[in-house]
Amino acid sequence: MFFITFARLLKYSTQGFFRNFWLSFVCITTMVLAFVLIDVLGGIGIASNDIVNSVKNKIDVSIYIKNTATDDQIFAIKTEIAGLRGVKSVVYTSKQQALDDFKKRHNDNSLLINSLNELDTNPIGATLIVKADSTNDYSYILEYVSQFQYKDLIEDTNYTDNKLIISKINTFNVTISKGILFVGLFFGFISAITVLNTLRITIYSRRREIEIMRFLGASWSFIKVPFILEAIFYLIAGWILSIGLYYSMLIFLAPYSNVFFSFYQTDIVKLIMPNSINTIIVELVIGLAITVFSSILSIRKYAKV
Amino acid sequence: MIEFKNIGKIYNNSVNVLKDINLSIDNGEYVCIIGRSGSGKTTLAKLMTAEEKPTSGVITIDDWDITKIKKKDIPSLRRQIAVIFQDFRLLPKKTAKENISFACEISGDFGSKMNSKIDQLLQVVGLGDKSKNYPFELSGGEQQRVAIARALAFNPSILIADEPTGNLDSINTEGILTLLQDINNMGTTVILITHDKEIVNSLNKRIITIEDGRIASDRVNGKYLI
Repeated sequence: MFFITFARLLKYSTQGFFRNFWLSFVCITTMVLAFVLIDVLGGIGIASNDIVNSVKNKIDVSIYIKNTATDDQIFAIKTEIAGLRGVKSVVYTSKQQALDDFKKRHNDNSLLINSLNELDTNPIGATLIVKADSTNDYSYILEYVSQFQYKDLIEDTNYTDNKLIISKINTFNVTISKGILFVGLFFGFISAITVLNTLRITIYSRRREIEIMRFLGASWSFIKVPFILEAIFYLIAGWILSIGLYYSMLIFLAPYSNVFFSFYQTDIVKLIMPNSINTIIVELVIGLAITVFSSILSIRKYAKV
Repeated sequence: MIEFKNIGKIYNNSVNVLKDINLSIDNGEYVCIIGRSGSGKTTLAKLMTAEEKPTSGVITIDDWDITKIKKKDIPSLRRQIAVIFQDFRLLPKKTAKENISFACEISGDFGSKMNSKIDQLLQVVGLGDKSKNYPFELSGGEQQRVAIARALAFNPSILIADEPTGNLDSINTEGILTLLQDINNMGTTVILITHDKEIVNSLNKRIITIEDGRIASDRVNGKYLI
């Protein structure tokens, strides 16, 4: 009997879905717009986060070692720094490599190159290039380096030069994250309210039908379940269409976005597509909760037995 | 048997619609309840289907005190007391057959037995060839016939007809009255609520007259005297 009842409820809901075409159309359209809005915001969030991270990844701090330091001392410094909390990598550039790099960088300055060639010894010391897990870790790493046992072997660091950039990137990142969170919550709320009210209007327009069912002595499940299932059909149809629309938009925009973001060596569309799956699944779950809640709330008003 | 004992109904603590109603209707009876608009006839019907609760008094249907009915038992009561209305109250997005099958399904019918019951009901009301029509494709008389078939799908012991011919022409009215008489002949109690003098006089049944919320008269084989 359970399966017969369930099959009937499913039949009523599919009948309602197809026979109230314009109501279904309006409802699904609203849901598609709500979902696409959230998807676009999620995509902007993913892209901006990735751009900020990519800029952050390009930042490193060079520690210049005094020319007097032996190879053993340099490797001891490297090992100690590499063991620090927050250090992602330490790359060693030897004195000779540093000199070669310097010459390569300034090969158009013959005076400088000739002067270097005149010297008997290599005036450029070795360099350790430190990358941290987070830009916030640099101050701690450099603070440690300025006080550790090998501090007298350190010639200089370029942290001061990079400090301002790191600070600006951090501030930008925090601002962007907060902004996207706020806008996301705001539009998420607007979308939820829109979906909720559309469903309420849909059920309001069919209140007469609900009243008749009530007069006929239909039970709770016979009245409410088909309407709830129908609302879930709207949601799923809207969700599927929104995915199609969103991904079509991404594919359409791909050539333009790659030109626009040419400085940034990642295909933004390829980055957004797989990373949007979480957003899409979360919005379906939240959408389902809103749909069921809204339907029950609206039907209850007209189906008081 | 339906029994009203000292029934009173007051809306919003001020509008006294029914006053001290005492009434009993036997199983299988055909009763006309008449009165002017606003006299309290429809409220009386609403009390019988537990759509409204009386302010005072007790209503029993076969010893079931429906004034104390629990919400969960109301659907079961409404499947025993079928109601047809002036405005038919058909489900607009369901065909004639689906409207009747909805009632059958509510009652727990299924399978080929249910299908043959629906076909039989459509034949009884003379709409065998209009089973696939939606309500908007049917005339008023046909819609009321579907409503009656739907009411009969419950195999109700009581059928309340609240102004069932109010929207119909004289030919359709006659058809509906004949149907109601047939239903009564099958043993169902029929309560016809109307203010149509000609209908009441042609039926020659028990007539209960309501005036200003009170029973003004209760006569067997009566005539419309207001």
